[in-house]
Amino acid sequence: MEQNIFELIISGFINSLSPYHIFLMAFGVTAGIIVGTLPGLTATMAVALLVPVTFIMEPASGLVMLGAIWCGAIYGGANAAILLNIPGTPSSIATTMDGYPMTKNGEADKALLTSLISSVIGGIIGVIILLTLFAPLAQVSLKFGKPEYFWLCIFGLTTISAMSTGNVVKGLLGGLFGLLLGTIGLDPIAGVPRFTFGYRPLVQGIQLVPALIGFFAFSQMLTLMERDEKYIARYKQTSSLLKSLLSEMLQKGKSVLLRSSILGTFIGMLPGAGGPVASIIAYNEAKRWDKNPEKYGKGAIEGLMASESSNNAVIGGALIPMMGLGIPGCPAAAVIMGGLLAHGIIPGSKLLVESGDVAYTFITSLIIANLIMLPVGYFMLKLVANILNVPLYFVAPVILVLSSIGAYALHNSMLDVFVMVIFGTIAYILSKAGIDPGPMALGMVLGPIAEDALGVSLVIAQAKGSILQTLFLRPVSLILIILSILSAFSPLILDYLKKKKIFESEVKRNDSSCC
Amino acid sequence: MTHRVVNIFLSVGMFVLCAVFLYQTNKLSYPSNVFPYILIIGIAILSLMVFLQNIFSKAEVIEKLEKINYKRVISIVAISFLYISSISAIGFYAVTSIYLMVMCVSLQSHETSIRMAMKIRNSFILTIIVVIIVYIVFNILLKVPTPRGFLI
Repeated sequence: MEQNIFELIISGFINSLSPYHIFLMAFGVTAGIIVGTLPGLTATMAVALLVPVTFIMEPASGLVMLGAIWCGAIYGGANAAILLNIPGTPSSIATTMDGYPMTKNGEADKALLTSLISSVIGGIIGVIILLTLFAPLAQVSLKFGKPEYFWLCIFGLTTISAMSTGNVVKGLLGGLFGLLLGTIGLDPIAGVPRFTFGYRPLVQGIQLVPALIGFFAFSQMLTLMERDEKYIARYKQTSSLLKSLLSEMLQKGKSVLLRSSILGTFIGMLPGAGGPVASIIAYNEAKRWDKNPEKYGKGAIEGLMASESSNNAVIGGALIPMMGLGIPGCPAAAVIMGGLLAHGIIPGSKLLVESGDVAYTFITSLIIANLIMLPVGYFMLKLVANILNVPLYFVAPVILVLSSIGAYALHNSMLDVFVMVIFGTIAYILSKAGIDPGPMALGMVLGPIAEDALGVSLVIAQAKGSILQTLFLRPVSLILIILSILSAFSPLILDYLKKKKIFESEVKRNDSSCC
Repeated sequence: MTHRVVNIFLSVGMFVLCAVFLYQTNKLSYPSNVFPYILIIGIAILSLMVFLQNIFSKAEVIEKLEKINYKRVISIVAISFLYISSISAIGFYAVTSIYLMVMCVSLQSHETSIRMAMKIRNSFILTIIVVIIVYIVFNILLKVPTPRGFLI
């Protein structure tokens, strides 16, 4: 069997490297980057839009193109996040935290290139893990029941305390506000409409993508337009950046890249978690493990590396349960699974036996697609970065028009466009009171998953007669609870230790000056 | 306006939000009401903390907020609402053209070095280019639907 898998991997590589497949990958990566860059158009939408095109192709060729689009779109989301503080896709929420400050510091080139290299590294690590471990890891993801999901979300939410050093109370307030907004619509357990205030269309709930476009795009444009500045930030092309950046990334971020990529792959395996959760948790972990966590949020290259490597590593992770068990880890994986099924390929335990050649061509092509993304992305980032040279009075209205299309395209609903403008205005007002959109977005992303997991866990606990046993004492839950407590309090403890260190050094200095 | 006043407004606003959501939550049954109750209690506690912090605050939080051009922000929000409200009735491309022209010209108001005729010309060129690109990319290439009205 091992020999067979090895042979399949080799033949998969050979198939992926055919000129036709390389052309499809280059096209897919380019299309993915363009769609991912446009706010509101998600990676799932990019993949879904081109699924029908693959029906006229051989199954392997169709999948090769879809995989490349997915990789490109997840990476492309970083461009808008870095240049405009607008996550192109929800997976880039954490990218805004340090990517945009880097742009403001005149380091747009560096930020864009860092995100490209990190995405490629994360994507490749994710696929290597998929290639080597997809059978045993698929079993691990099965150990995650609803109680574990609930604690995973709580672990994600503890990021808020790390995200909002300086004003944790307002950060938490923003997070809870986002969670509350996430409860509007049908209750995930009983199916009861909540907080619709008699307005029937609200039964479908507040859609995440329009709300995120409002939080980040509309409010950001209002913030930029309230000032009389001509440009978002000054852009200067940096010459011979690649070499110095690579050495800086290797020096500062080896462990960040590796840890974030492994985290991204693991979180990608968990159905429903996906890129946004992975990038937020990886960002938080990078900050928590760093000796100087205060530099995060001000343009720390490590923050950007963590977010971008983890969200691209999610692709490999999400394919593990999809290919191994027939359970897609995220919406984009579900769309690709639909593509597989349309070609008569049934994912699951028999995939390797019945369609091993197609499966391994698809998996190995993701490595090639990530490598192709490097030159394609490098060429495109020069074009993308020039947005900064266009005056703000031209950029802002165009962004608002694109945001409107992005919000509308999701469900062909004008309600989503109103949601975008209303939420953008609310986020703008709250930002004046010191509540950033980051925690609110995090609350909205994790809220429905957390509530669903909590509701089901409570029902299970009721049936079993023990909340303690169901919700708290399961081994994986216990680990996640401990991690959540550490994550929530570590910024406060680190802050205390830092102040203590400063105090001690001052006392020492005073003593020595007295002597 | 000072940070203290803004924070007090924020906490009062959050209390009102809690009251509205609490009224609605009281009508729900278990388990639909569990999560909202937890969130409402959390928001109320944090809002109270912000409120008390600012009522008894020392001088450092009384510093003034940076000056904001409220008139411009309100007009942008109003124009944007008008824009999205008229899309379904008139049509995406027609309204978008007008919106882009109006926004581009009005946002250049502080650019005293550019003549009005030049501002209108630049805005017109941008509008034409953007509308054509949006049509080609979204309608022809990506097949993403745009709202339709009685015009295009």
